[in-house]
Amino acid sequence: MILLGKYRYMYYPGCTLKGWAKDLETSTLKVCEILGIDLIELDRWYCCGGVFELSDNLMRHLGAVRSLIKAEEKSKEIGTGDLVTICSMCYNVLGRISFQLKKEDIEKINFFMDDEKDYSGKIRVKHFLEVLKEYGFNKIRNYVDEQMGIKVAPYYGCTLLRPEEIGIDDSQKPRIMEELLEAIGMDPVSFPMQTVCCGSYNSARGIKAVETLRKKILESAKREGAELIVTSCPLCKYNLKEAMYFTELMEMALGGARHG
Amino acid sequence: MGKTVRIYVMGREYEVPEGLTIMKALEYVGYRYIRGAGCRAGFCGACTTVYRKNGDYKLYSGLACQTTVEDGMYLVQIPFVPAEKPKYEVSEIKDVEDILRVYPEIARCLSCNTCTKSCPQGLETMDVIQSILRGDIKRAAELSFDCIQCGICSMRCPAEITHYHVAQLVRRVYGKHYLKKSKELERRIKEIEEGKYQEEIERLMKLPREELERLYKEIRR
Amino acid sequence: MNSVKEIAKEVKLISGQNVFACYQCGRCSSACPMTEEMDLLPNQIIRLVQMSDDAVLSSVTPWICASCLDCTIRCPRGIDVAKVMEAIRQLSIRRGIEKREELVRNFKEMDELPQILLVSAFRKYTG
Repeated sequence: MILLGKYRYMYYPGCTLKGWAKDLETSTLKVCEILGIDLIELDRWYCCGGVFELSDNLMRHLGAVRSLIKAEEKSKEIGTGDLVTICSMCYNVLGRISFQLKKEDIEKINFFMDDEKDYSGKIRVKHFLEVLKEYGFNKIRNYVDEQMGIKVAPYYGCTLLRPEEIGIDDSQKPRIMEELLEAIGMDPVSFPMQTVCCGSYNSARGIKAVETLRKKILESAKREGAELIVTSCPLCKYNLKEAMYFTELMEMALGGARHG
Repeated sequence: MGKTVRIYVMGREYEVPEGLTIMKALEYVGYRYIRGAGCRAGFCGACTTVYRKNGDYKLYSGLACQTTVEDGMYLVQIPFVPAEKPKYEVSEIKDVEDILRVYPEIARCLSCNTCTKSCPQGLETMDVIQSILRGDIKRAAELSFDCIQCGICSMRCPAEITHYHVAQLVRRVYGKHYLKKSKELERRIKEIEEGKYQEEIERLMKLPREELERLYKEIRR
Repeated sequence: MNSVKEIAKEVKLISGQNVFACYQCGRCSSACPMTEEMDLLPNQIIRLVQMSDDAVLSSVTPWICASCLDCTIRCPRGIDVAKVMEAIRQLSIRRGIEKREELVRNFKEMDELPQILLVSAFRKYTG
């Protein structure tokens, strides 16, 4: 039996957080350590696929469903059905699988995966921002050393907010990151293009639209006086080039270095 | 002749003594292996066979030299698996990003587990690919250690990944950059380079055959 | 033409969306951040699917769509436009058009390769 605190969650990192976006994981874990939140990584998990499959090709849901099955096994051990992701795209895929995939499709997938236990749909997928909100932004305030007052523009992109059924906040006027930034002593700056897509995987084909969008999004934030842009998505960070993860900023504000 | 079983080789029916391996059964009915047979001992991975059984939808695979024939087996030999083998320099490949540049298609893995189900060595093939994708070189190298490169995984993969080549690259990378260097090995290599065993080798090279055979038997005893 | 007629049917089968609900208000196109790169606007694509016009299969628009769902959440008729775009791509892929070679060539030249980018791009551009 593992001894755990009050705030405990299962944790699905996703491939990118173990590779290209290591900083997103290390800063999150540091923040959790400071706040006393336990993120317990699944013993086994699989690539979510990055994008939720919109066609009738059910095979493309397999990785995500398989991971949710592993989460159901793990949930018995640690007594919570909450599965946390930090990467926006993983959140979107796992969230849509757990909240939106039709029962008959789940049944077909279970039938195909005859080597696994069936997925019974008991997992609640949460994004780390929701976890922090549950914990209480006001409580986080107590851990802040210094009011840094940096003008920070939160960039949401698509996958945290759309579709609305799984969005962590209002799809057109989100506030959750602004509230968090305010709590950690920043000066949050909302901007018109904060929910517009960054071009996503189109950068793999060198599509001009990605560069155009990058410029528009950055200019839109700068026009509102932003000194810094934060995101929770590794692909947004890759496409925007000038952004940092909100968890990195949190680590700074909560005195991550001082906490060792 | 004792008990026999019926097998179907590329659709044609044969009756063969029970208890034979697939390889022996094929030779028994008159086939001669000119490819697709190597060590005949389950190590080289050359004699891949796929088969189905009467009344069973599952597509099985195995090594012809290790699998015993069963009544009602439909089988075919896979003498070769086509796969591109890109050229790379192991010293330049260290992280997942480098591996993805050589084999980007591993990002296509659907986690369907077909590779794992098809592996005659019983390896967790899907987890090998998934480990590479998240940069866990050690786990991938360890999980794939017993791969005999038969290539069945790569014939069945819906994402068209060539697992056995990718896994070999990962083991090379692991050996080159991550495994602890063995001091004993380095010392021995130095000894060899300094010519410590040169005299002994030269002596052996000059020995007549009978003398060599006598020495060999002596060592084996 | 029979094969032309099939496009509307096949898109329905793959996407589950009823494109005939569209009354051409154009909100999808006004929300889309990628229209500068497109040869046909999203609402025009929907119209062509209604008419089973195989011009949708040669348009670049479905390949530019990044499934950001800005159109989907704004459609007053409840059509998931992103799903329709996906269905058109799938239809093209199933008929033998892929962006595979272009992708792999680009990947080998890119400096940084976030896993999320490869995984998503392969899913969207290949079968």
